[in-house]
Amino acid sequence: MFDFKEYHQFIQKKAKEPLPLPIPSNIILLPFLDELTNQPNSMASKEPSITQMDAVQFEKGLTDIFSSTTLEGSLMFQLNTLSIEEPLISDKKIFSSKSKEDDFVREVAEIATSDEIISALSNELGSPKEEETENDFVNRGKNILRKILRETFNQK
Amino acid sequence: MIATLLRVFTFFFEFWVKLPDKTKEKIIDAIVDSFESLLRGYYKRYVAEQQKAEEEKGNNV
Repeated sequence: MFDFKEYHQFIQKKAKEPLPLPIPSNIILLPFLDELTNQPNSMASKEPSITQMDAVQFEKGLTDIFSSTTLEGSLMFQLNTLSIEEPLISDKKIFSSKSKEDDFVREVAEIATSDEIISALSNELGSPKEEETENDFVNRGKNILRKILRETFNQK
Repeated sequence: MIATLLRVFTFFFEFWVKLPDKTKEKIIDAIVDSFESLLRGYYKRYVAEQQKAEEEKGNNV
């Protein structure tokens, strides 16, 4: 059975793959959309009269969703939102320019999605335990990641 | 293994140590939150694969 690291690699690979064209008029494109967006896919997958144009538009939308729902996309969004809501640069003694703050945010994202961090999380997290609910598993994963990040970031 | 990150991301660590603890925690929270959908996706996929494997096992008995 695959582990969390392999799943992350699978999603990254899927997100980079172009969708096949032409799209059949009754295509069901959504087998992995659900897990990328956490949205139920029942409505679109049961729609029988989707047109070719609808499908092309849908593909464009799907590509946007892919690019924003990968871990890297999500992380940059979170960090940029944080940066806007509470500019790190407000303390001029820390960042002398906006570009330095941007570089810092970029490096934060690179470290957090690095092979080292993903491997450490995957190894400690393991697979879902018997009778562990989705929320319990997610919370366990988040707590492990928080601990790993604190240990990593505060080493010096 | 994680120690290698320290050598590569020197820019990050130069500034990280200067940030107030409150800001550090907010950054860590933002990172942790961004992993949520991936963790949920993995759980769903894992459980589905396990159910499929059990069904196949049952069919072969």
